Amino acid sequence: MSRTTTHPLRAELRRGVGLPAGAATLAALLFAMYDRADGWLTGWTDTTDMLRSAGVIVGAPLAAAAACWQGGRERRRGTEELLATVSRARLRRTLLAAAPTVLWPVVGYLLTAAVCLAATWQYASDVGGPYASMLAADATAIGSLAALGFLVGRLVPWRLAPPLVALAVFSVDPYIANQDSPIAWLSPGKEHVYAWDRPVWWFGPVSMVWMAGLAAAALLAYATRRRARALALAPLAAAATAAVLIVQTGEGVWRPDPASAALVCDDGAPRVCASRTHGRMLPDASAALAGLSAKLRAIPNAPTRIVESRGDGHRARRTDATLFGWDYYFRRNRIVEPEMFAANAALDATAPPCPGVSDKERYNDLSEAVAEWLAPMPRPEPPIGQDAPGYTRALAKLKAMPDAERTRWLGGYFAAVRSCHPERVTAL
Amino acid sequence: MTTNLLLYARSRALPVTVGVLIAAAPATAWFADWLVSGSGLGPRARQPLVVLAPLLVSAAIGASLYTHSEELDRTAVRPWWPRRACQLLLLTAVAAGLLAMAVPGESQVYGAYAMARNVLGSVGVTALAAALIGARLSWLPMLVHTGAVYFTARAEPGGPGAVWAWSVQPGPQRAAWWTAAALFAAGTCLYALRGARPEGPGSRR
Repeated sequence: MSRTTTHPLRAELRRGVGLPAGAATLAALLFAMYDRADGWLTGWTDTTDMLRSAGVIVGAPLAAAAACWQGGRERRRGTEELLATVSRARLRRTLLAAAPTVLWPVVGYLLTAAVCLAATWQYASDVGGPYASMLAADATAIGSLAALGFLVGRLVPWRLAPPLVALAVFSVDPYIANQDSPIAWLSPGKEHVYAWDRPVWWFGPVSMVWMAGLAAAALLAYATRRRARALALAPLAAAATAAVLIVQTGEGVWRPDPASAALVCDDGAPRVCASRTHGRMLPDASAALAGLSAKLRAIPNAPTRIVESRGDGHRARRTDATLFGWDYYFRRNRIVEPEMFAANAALDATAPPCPGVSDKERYNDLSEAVAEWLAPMPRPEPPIGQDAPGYTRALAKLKAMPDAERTRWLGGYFAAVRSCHPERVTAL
Repeated sequence: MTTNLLLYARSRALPVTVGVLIAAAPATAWFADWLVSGSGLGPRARQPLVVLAPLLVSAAIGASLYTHSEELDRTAVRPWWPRRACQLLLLTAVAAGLLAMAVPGESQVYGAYAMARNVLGSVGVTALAAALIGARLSWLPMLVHTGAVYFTARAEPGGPGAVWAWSVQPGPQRAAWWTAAALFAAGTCLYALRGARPEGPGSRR
């Protein structure tokens, strides 16, 4: 006679609220990521960032609430005393009971990540790759928050405990992430800005130690006997060490990747250059800037390149016009606001940042007029009765000039402003 | 009669539920003030609160829909639907009124309108869930919905998004109101007629 036995973990994983919680996490995360696909279907860093935010805002509250519900299972069934008589250690029983609501939401998150990374493949540039350690850290954070939620369910005999746990996760993590201090980097959902950054190699593993250490300490403190409770100090110390390391490094946990930040340029004049991470945007960017380029080409002293600005204090060449935040103008590497893109590039070309400029009003009016002539900005008509903006008079004079005279004046204008001496611009 | 009502209220944990609703109002008002004064976003900063506070009160109302004596209730001579409907309507009115007063001013931008609408919609979803999956897990569907739409948080009001993302609309968008009202009507009717789904004899809390 053959007898088959089922491991308790297998039975736990197949029954109860864990599997539905994992399915709900998967469905909610896929929906949320699909709805915001235009915001991340660009590159690996954008996808990683969005997955981390979604994991914490959508996945973690759900996982923690489901685990909190699971934590009260024995109390609801009235089997606490019965289970206390079995020979298995309390820690083992606790881990077994927590396993389904900790593991299944993590599986839901990882499946979502796999789908999103596969979708990113066709849009991402040839540099970099998925940041697996960051996604593993996020999965660990979801599992750890679920474990903490489970313990709340074990300790708090209240029907409202699960939704309150979810609300706490909803609120506390974004609160930490929005702090103006390095503490913000302790939040697993903390976003960063630059698409050509990559995390330092240890950030993912240390983040895992930070969150998993907290959960392990709480589990050990709850489920071990009094004498063994000191064991909880070990993961707590590891979590504290990891937290100190993250907080001390602060924004340095993401650093520019030279390979991703390097420029790739077209063959035009002036040349249009994008960071390699946005290299697939270059054809559309060149097309959108064609009109601006044609005008700049004929003007002496005009910028020789229009480059994607790194926006992190990195100085471009003095002869470059820069434009930051290409992501705002593109969706899935196709440009959606070409006029605005060209107009903002023209604004930077005509008014490079210069400290301590005198007669700022005149300078602003002139630079706006030149930018408007180079690439008009789409803007609503001013309301009837309102005075025309200051630059319109200069623009009218610029348009009325003969071509040769205008080219000469613009040459002088660019020579003056690009050497940060706008006072040398002659009157129109 | 009064004794009957008191017993009914106790059997549905209504004192605790009403206590949660009353406590939620000043807490919401404090957080609203904190968010508006601290963020620089003006009344738009109240968006998280207008989404999350109704989630909390609807969970509390959903928990009160649980009955410990489902089999006994079915033997009653009088119909249950008027009591169930009254319970749901009264609790919803109290919650919507208190929370709407907790976000005064700029009612069109995540103010009283949006708060009242979200209480209606959230209670509707929770009552539907209580009738279909049981009162004790009735908070779950609204939590899943809130998580998904809170993340997507449609910045532009109106449009088709106002139907499925009704809870993150700023205020007077009609589609969002219609959706919330329809959910509330469906939830109230279904719960009043069928009651919460029985959850087995072993259920204690």
